[in-house]
Amino acid sequence: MAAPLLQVEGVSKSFPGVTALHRVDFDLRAGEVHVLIGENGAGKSTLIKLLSGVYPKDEGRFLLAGQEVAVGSVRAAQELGVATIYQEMNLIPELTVAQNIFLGREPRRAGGLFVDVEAARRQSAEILASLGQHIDPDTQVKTLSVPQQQMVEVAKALSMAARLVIFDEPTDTLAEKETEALFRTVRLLKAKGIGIIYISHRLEEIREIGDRVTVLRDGHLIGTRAVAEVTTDDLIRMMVGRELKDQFPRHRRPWGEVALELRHVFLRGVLHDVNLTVHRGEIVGLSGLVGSGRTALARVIFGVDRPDSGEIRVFGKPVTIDSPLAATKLGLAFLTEDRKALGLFQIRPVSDNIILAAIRRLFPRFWIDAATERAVAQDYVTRLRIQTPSLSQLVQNLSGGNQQKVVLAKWLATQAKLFILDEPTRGIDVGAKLEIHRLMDELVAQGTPIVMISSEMPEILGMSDRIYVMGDGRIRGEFAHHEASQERILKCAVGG
Amino acid sequence: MPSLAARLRVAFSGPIIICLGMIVLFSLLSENFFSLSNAVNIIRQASVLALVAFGQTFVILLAGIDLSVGAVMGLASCVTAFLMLKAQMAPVLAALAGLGVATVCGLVNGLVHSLLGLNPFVPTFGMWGMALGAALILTEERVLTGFPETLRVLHDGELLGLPAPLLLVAVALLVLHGFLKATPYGIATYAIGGNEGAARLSGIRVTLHKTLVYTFCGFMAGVAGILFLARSNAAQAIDTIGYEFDSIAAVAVGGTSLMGGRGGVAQTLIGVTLIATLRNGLNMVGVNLYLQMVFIGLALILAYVAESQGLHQLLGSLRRRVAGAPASPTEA
Repeated sequence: MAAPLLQVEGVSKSFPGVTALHRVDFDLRAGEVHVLIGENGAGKSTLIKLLSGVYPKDEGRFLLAGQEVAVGSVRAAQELGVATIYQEMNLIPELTVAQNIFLGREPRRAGGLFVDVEAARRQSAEILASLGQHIDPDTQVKTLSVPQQQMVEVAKALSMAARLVIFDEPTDTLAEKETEALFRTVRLLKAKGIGIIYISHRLEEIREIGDRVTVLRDGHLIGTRAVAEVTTDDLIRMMVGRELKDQFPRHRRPWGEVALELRHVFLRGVLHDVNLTVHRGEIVGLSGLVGSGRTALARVIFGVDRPDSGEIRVFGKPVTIDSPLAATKLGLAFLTEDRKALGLFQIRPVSDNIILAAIRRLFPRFWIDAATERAVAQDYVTRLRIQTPSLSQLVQNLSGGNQQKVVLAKWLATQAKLFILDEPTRGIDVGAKLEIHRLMDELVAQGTPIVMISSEMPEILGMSDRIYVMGDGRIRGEFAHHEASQERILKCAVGG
Repeated sequence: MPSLAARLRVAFSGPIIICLGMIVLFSLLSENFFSLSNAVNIIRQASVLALVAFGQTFVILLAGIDLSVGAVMGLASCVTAFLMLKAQMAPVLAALAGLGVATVCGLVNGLVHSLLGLNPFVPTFGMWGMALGAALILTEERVLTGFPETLRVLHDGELLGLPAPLLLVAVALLVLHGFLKATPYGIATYAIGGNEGAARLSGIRVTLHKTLVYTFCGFMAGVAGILFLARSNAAQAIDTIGYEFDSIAAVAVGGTSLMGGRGGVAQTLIGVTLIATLRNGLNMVGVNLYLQMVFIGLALILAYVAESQGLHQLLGSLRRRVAGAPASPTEA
């Protein structure tokens, strides 16, 4: 049998203070999609960065088609035919499609001094056409949609005559239809005999696109399996190293009195006659497609946008919420879906982030007492099991799941009486997800109601007491948790 | 390819319209302004600024900034004058030495910035102080004069009836424009300014490229400094202070993004013309030097705002902000 396309043998990598990869073996055959999974910090990113020449490895060997190779730089990796499509797009928005595709490897003319613009344009158009894309090579990349940009990245990989293409969580930013288009492209590459390493958080994707799957945990290889031979439960067990018997830790209890009530709320062009009730001690799920008005509704409740008409009552009292400040004074807390941009101060320490929203309550006398700050922050770090080397660690250095816990801690510290959580577990790993869900259950057990927006159907079904389904800015349906099912909700969301 | 109409729309964007408007205004205010001799005069005055601003354009395209150019120009001209005067060096050799010193200043800026990862404000601001101090020590705070007039040909000479500084600027413009638009290194410059991490992952040698760009900016400051010496026939350390301000203003007014990745030397030439015309016109109508600085500062802000936002959009957003309307919802 011929040597596999890629063999990784006993590769290790350490960074100051952490071993990111420990003697990992991995292999990839030509024309195969090999999925790489693991929680955040498991070592997936480190492995692909070693393969694409971003960092040097500490020990071990890489073999391409049986030959040991040195991947000393990004350029060396490209010359060996290893192309990487990173999660955060790596295109230059101001440059054209053709300039991006050939960036750093431009076809030359006139003795190598000038770029052969014609050749770059022609070859780009050919490659894009082979992917079934009709994008003008002279368009500026900033004018393209996200899926189109991804296709430009794939074209860039093909222009390097890549034998091996690495996709780093490619579907995180895509809608469902766009995901299908991406999968078609992946199959196209496969048919050309290109080997594909595919990193994903979404376990359900593996079955659709993968041939084999390898699980990493804490920098160690846990195992490689044929996709056809493993169940999702097996994979979760391999990823977290423990049984996840109860995927959603909910204890449903009787609700208390009405905490929040919306009556006939209109926001021109966005919300139409929205009626909604939230009781103490219940989790209300807001389901619906992206653009259905879920986030718009949350923004109205939190005073970011003012409704044109309608009534809002908080704990029985009619209120006007005309700013987020007014909302926080009423005891509302809003965890936005974009925690990086709107929820956290990335370059401030964990402790500052935790006390920030509660600063007036904690320190009514102007001066911030460092000992109190530390004590309060430490209390939340312990209770929420936030994994951080210290309170003074900068938030940007934490994993996604721990960042989300910091946001949650920030609002818990305000002693808010009602939480609005927008996509509370998006992009975080299985273990952290479970802990966030457990915290939500504890919150409602203490009587604090939660409004949860989620695009993940299992989360909506598993966590909610009641579910409102939105579409076109309207409430399309309401289900108690025992009468809800994936089919019923989807049917309602698309207006069936 | 962009259509001709699109190209014309770009060509007649904010800065050009402002420039044409100023020409009309000054022609009305001063009878001497609109004449061939004054046009040649503006070109000669603008040539020093154009050369230093071309170097600055490269740095700003990388999303950097070089605050040292004014002082480096002064150092280059003082070194050249000093060598001619005190060491009786041949003028051409002395000028090359001056250029060399300026280039080394740029190299140091580039190395400190790219190797230590410092914000370019720090090394170039430091270099401003060091270059100015060195020039003051070298000249003992005096004006150096009385050296051979060989270099004056750079400023006063003519070829085929065209003034030498104009030819110098034209050649620089053509070479640099071609370099930026048609060579892999030019594209790399835009790429680094547009998204440095992505450029690195595309195999571009970012550290080396940045160092070379700052070195080139120092070199251009040297060329400008020597042309300045050729014009004034005297060297003084502080004479060229202020060119850092004018050069950044010219780049920004021309429409090159201070965030990097967008613009070019052709735009900078428009910015240079605008500032030189403004200075010349204000002189003609008798506005004093310090008030001129106020106007240039104002022009910088206005032109930049007009270029980056579009004037009507700016007015619109101001109105909204004053009216206190909420931001639009993200998910509608």
